[in-house]
Amino acid sequence: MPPAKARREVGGGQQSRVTKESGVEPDEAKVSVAACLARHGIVLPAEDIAFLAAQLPMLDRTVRAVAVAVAAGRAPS
Amino acid sequence: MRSVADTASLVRAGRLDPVREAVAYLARIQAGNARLHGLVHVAEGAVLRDAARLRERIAHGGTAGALAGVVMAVKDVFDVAGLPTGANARLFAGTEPAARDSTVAARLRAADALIVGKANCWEMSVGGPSRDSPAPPAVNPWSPGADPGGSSNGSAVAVASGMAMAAIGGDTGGSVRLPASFCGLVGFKPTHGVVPMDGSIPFAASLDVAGPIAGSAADCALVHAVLAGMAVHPAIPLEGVRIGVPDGLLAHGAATVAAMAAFDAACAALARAGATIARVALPSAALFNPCYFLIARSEAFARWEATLAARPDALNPLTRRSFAIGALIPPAAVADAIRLRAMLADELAAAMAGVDVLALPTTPDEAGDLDAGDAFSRPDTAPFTRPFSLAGVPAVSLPCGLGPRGRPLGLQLVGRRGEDARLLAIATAAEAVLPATGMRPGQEWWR
Repeated sequence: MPPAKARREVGGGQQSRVTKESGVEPDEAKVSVAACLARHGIVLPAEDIAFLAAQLPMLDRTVRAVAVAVAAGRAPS
Repeated sequence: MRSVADTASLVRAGRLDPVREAVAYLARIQAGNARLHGLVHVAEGAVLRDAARLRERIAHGGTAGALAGVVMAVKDVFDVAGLPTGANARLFAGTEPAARDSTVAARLRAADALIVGKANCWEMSVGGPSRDSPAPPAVNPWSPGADPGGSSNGSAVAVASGMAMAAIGGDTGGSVRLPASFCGLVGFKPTHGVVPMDGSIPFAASLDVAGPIAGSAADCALVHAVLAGMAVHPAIPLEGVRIGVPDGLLAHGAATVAAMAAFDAACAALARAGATIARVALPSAALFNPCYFLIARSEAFARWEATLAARPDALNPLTRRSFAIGALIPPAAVADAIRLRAMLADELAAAMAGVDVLALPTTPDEAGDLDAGDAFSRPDTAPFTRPFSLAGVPAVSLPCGLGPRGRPLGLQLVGRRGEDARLLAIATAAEAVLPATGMRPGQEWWR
């Protein structure tokens, strides 16, 4: 799931559950990261979750750049 | 310093005692490893036993291999029979010694190399430099506070400090070329798939390769020939060799003025020797590293997902985060990256159609300091090495000068896919005219 989409789909109930289980602060980006990892059965320390949440804008840019190039059918000149 | 070829030749001829050679390297390890942390396991008994057997065989008229008596270290992600394989991670603490050699180690032994030990590395080839791994970070012999790069830092440190004549590293996005460059050595990344990777701890299997670090391109060529089961290419004179400079990659790599000056001086030296230098267009240069990042991280996560779930505390935070970020990459993005990778490889092959090799700096700058801060690897990390890992083509780093802090800089030459031996033959000719060939740290402060 794209990081941005994942963030949109984190609802209030899920946020509460993830916040409680992982101990992360009730911050949307952190909760979406924790939720994504939880789907893989992974629970990481709150510091890791905060770090990964801070990487989401970089990851969004990276994913978008690659998607745009592929959608164009060729590498852009 | 004696070359790998000369050493093996002397040993085969019975003019150099492999036991004395092994003893000399063990003495240097004894004197320096406590401060440099280049090796994490020293196989003192095994290397002396192997050396004695080799001496005995030669004394009785037996044949000896291409690396006869050459004392080597192997990165601690490759199995070496009788030694544990730890990848500098708590995850493998207490692991039993490997029952048999990886193919890499087996081929070295079959050529009569003497494996003296296992070389330190960033945890799991990604999580470093860190003081939260079983072994302390390896230290660059060029300065007590300098970072030797990674991930195969112990391999480079061992060679640069004389604890091994040559070493094997693993390279996923630059992990042989970067420490070789930072330590003033030659490091070679072969074409992906040329050297079997069985018996090793993977990072990202579609990118991982095994390659040598040594004092010269000629030494690397000989070791690689053994690893790949190929012949060494005859020497290629530089006259008429066409060298392309990929301006697009340089523009995205933010090389320092000093790194570019050393690169320009190296190109000028190659041109004086008869090579032609031409600019090469690579329109999609900005896409190589984002594409690399998505593929490397998604592959690493796929491989280590179960470990993250079951034993996250067995990895240091850098490693955990580097693996876990792969979980945040959507499958559609991975599919896009795989498609883009093929396009970029085609574009690179087209760009290289009119040249023999590409040339660019190995790193944007000389080595920094250990403990310099955040070491998390992002898409803009290692901008000059990852593109060629992504494309799976061979690349070699040669010493080409010193930066403002007196630490080495590297020149990277890149060959066409499958033309590993040819690239190394050109690199061997190139190192003969580069001013930095054979440079060594000024003082052996670690002894």
